[in-house]
Amino acid sequence: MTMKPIDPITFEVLKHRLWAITEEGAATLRNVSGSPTVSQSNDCNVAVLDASGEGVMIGATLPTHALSCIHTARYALREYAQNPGISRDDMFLSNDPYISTPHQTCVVMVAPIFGDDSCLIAWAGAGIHVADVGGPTPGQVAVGAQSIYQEATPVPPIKMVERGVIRKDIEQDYLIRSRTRGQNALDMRAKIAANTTIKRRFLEMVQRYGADTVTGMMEQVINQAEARLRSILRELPDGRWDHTSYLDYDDRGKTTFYACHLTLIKKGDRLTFDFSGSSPQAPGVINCTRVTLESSLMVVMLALFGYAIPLCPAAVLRVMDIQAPPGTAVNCSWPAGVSKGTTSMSQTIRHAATICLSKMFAASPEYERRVLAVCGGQMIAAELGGRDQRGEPFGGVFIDTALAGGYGARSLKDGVDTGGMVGGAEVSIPNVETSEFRYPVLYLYRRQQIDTAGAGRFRGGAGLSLMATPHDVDRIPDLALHSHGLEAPTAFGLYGGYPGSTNQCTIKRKTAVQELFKKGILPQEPGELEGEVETPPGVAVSYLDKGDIYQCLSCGGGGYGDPLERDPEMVRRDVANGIVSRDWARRTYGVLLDPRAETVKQQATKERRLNLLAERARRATSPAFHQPQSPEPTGKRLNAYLSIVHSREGDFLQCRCGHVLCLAREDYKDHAAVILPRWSKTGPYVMNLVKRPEFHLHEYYCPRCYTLLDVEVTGSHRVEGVGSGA
Amino acid sequence: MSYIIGIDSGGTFTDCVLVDDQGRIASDKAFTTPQNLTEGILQSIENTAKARGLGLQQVLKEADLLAVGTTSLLNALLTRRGAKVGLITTRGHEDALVIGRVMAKTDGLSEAEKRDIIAWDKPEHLVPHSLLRGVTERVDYKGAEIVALNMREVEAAVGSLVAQGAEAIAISFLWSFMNPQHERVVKDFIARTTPDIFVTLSSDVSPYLGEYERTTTTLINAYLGPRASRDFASLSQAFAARGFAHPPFIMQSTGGVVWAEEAANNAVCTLSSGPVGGIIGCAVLGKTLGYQNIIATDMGGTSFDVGLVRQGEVPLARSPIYDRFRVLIPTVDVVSVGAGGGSIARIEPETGALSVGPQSAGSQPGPACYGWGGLEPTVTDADVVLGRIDPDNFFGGRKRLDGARAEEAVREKIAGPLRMDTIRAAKGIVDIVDAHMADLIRKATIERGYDPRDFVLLAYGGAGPLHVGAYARELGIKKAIVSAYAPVFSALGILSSDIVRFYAKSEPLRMPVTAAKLNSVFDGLARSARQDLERTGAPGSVSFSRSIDMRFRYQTHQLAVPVPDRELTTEAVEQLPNQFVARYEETFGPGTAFKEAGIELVTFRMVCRVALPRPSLREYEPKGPDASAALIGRRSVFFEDMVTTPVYDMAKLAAGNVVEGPAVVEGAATVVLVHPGQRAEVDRYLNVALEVR
Repeated sequence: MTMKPIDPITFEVLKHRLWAITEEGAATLRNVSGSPTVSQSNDCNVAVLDASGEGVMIGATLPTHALSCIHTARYALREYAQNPGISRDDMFLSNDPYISTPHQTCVVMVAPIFGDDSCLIAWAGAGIHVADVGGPTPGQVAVGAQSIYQEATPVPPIKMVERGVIRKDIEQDYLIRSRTRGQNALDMRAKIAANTTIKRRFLEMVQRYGADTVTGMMEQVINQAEARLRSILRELPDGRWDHTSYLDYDDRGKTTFYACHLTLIKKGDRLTFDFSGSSPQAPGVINCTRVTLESSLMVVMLALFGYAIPLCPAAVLRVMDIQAPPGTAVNCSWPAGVSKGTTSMSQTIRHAATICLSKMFAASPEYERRVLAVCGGQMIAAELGGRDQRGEPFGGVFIDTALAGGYGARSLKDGVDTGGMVGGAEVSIPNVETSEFRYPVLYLYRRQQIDTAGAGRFRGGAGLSLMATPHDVDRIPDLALHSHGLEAPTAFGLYGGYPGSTNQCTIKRKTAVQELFKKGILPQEPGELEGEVETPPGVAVSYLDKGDIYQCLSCGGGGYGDPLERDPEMVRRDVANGIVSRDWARRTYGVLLDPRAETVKQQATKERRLNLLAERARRATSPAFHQPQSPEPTGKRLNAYLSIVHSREGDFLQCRCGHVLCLAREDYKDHAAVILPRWSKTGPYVMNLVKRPEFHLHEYYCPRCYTLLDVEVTGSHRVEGVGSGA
Repeated sequence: MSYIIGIDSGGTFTDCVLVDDQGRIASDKAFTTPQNLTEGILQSIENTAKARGLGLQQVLKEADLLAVGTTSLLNALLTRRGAKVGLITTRGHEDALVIGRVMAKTDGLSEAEKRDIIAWDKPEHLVPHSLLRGVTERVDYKGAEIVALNMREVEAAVGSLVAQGAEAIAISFLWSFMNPQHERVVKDFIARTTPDIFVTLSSDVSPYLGEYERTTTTLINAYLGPRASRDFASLSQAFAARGFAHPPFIMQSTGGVVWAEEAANNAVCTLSSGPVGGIIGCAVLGKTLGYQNIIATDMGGTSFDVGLVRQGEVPLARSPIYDRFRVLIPTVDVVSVGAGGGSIARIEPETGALSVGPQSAGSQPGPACYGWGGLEPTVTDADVVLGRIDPDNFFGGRKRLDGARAEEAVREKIAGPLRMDTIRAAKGIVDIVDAHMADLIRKATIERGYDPRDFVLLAYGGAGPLHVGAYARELGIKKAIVSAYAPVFSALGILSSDIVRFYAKSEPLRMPVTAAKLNSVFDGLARSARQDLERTGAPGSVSFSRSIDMRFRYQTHQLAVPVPDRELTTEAVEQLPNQFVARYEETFGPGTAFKEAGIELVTFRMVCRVALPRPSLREYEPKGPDASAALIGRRSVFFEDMVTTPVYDMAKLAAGNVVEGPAVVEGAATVVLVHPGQRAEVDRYLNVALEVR
């Protein structure tokens, strides 16, 4: 297409207009949808795509849904141009994880937009997470599925709306599989309404400014964002960074750890994400298809570079290469099951990508402030089903813990307490009152959980916990538990910051909670109630009877930097605000306080911290390294602690204390002082959970000053201590 | 003679408008006295009365109505100068505020900040952790008591909060809007034991579903309540002592006024009273001039506020955000940035970049040119340096500005460090503040899907008419109107407002429902409305409107369906689903309604409006384009270069006069700047209509 130059004011107006159109589309989607997860948590999104199906602008809610629209439109263009054809006022629906969406319960619809001359000029798209689309287990997860055949049958892109009218026969076929047909039908109309809104506004814009100007503007939006992204990448040092994150998956009583091994290579203005070495695919449930892998990386890229570029997926895609061997859990092959696609391996991929990109930023003093530890870790959620307090069928979810984990620490400040996942500016959790109005449950509490935040010079955010019991029903027959991150921490820290806590779930059966209510007691811990304790596996089907208690803790965010460097006054404030206990203030941060946590005991804290340093020196194995003569700074570095120096003998890696650890091309972890502490060192909510011999916590210290350089969760892979210039 | 008085007490100036029974308008202003609101207000009335040759007492004695808007409470919130507040809430849910539904991390951030995930943080809340008390009690979604209120804990909580020096207590329990009993028991307990402390209940302030927003609303009300009670009581006393025979009205963010005593208990509803007054004024003026779509822009001393009139209506926000806090009360939609005449220009020490605002010199010490000790250069100082403000004729000549101080401040603090000449530095300050204002208007229009070029721009506030030519041009807006009463426009809007009271009850029901049930809910609301009317009197004709927020089952979003203001018949109730579906498809598009889901009725609303006497603007016969009779001189004004520019006296301009730019039109307390190439015409109501090019 030849591009007419657009005057800068018109461009600015239209660019904002496009943004406003996505906002309006997203608002329509939220308003019409029948899912509280949508209208209360914004688990939905919209997109405007160009004629070729590339994402020009997406809404500010969960990016995944919008990215699914891109895959769906691309597929329709590739496969359906002749049969069944793409016409004005058609809309295509899909939830096929091998074509469109991360899993079957994410359902998208895309609508072609035609100009006056019947020329395809753009697409509108909308996606929603729906409660149930069939399969053996209520809700999204097909517990124990050994392939996609044992999960909900996907719907590949189908023409659901033909020339403006819903195809009744096809709608029946889509709805019949679901346990929540009414809700799904309403959600489908929400997507139709959102697409209709976007189309209408878009065509008004075309009417006024002309199709050429509007399509030219879209191309320019992508080009400008791409140019900006490339210029940022050129300013960053080239290098290679790796990370391995693990997914614990309990499949029919046996837990397997799946590794997501990512090597990020940055050269000039390109990024290569290489997943070689990741674990083979699981039979079902947790895998990630190629389209989901792309979406997962895009989510992180859009979040971390969002400060500089608009939410323009096409621009991001142009600077990325993705390499992932087929048949792995990060790029699975048919018929691997994927029913938990949004909250399993796709999250693991995001964690690895967040860490690797942060390491890239840390290598540049100018970009160091963009460093972010892992937000939220793996998600913990439980879906509910049965009949509600009014006797009508319902499907719902305890989504609060999934979306309100602790945010990762940043290089200059703490993570946000109950700040949730990376990106998703408008993601929210429902009010307790909203959940209680919808579902037959009563919350005994919902709070920020003490001692869940990953420790560090800047700590991660605290996680959320809740405790609830069935209310006004005798039984909630369906309780589909699906969580990871129960058996090993998943919210990794950076540069000496510890990981956040693990997720936890407890069910206590047959308690006398109703009697306690009558006595005027409102229990706040499972321990205040008598009953049979169940600690369910991550993925399981269960139920709740009247008198049963469900308690769930989501993990805190990863920390940043050595906790002994944390300002004692900040630790005091954390204790006063109930984020850190006095015990852990002393143990992890070496900070001692007066009994009311009003002042820091300065001298005692100083001594305690010196003792902790001495203990590091005593326990660590401390290799010696030949110190080169008169090393000079090169301006290159790995991070705030480690920089590259030059002497006649070559390039070396030097700690900020002056100690030279190794040659610059070597892995510094081979030359660091190492301690393998107990897991309990990370906090009370990982204790006794990680029992696996193949997993270790590694602490790497500078052998001279004993600054904590890195805390690593090591399993099948060890994360390399290399970086820029490597 | 009888009078109606409107007051708008802003951050820097307090404006007064006086209308007599002949429709003649007098107006003037005085400096706001932040330490004592009343002083500045009385001064503004006295100044205005003097212009008519009257005394303060005489005007107050003969006044029928006096309505006040104030930003003092909003300023107290923004600067965190509210009361020390304790919060009592349901045990186990103390963290609802800090969790903030997760979205508190981005609520209230600018669009740019929202995209920068590194910038995200939740705000420090108005109640510290040490003043937060959970007590054992629980009510469920039906309003049924599940766990009794533990009075021992209540006593301990109240006792320790008082001991820690709490000046106000907010009480917000789960489901209190379904059953306010527990909240009321706590309130009664406090009234018995510590009667002097300010107490506010969530079931009174925000009786809607959603504990996070409801609690935040309640907390802000408690945070500002003691100050509101003090301020409004002393105001009423001061007026009464000078012969005013009625209680004063206070402007509300809801777009109407209520009596001062009511307003003191609902401080959270007063937060944007001044700006909202201006928007109501725009709607009223728009009706007179025949404009349906108006961008209302108010540039005062400390802030720049933007609101919209769309199709003649003033849109309400359901859940507005003040600072970083989301509240749940119906509020006229206004957005604001810290940009005004008092905005301070400074150079960032780290980067050497020039920035303007949001810090303001306010009225004390004020801009450097005031000569009151302010040393920082402000936008007003820059306007003086550029020759746009005449230092000898500022504020109707009552305040002489010190041009040398203005120049010194700009030279020393900005021009010197940047190594540029003083006049270019002053131009840079003005360009930046103009761009900030244009950006905010973009946010209020383009980012909501409207094209600003489809709107007429109305500029008011002391500094608006001086800058409108620049920000309107930047936005491509063709027509900007400066009201004849621009400097006191919000005050004019405030005295044009009716008494408006909102009554609502959340009571979720599912169709089919009986007419008797609906009538009983509305009867309850009507009873409250009638009680308030009986208690407070109705100095005008009373009208009611009713609506029901409806939705399809499974949805949480609701749509208001208007119903007639009378007993509903069975037929009317049977029609409700059709009305809802029609409205729904009108909003979301045909085919989107899904009747099979079932229809729920959620919140019942009643608005009581008491029409108050409204001034009618006087019309003038056009006298032809020649404005030379109003020409009072020439002076050098800097646009892109120094230009010798004619100066007109606004008071001498007649209807139909035309002024070609470059020109300066000076009024009693404002200056209209007509840029080169722009053209101003005086309309039949003596408004100056600017053709922007």
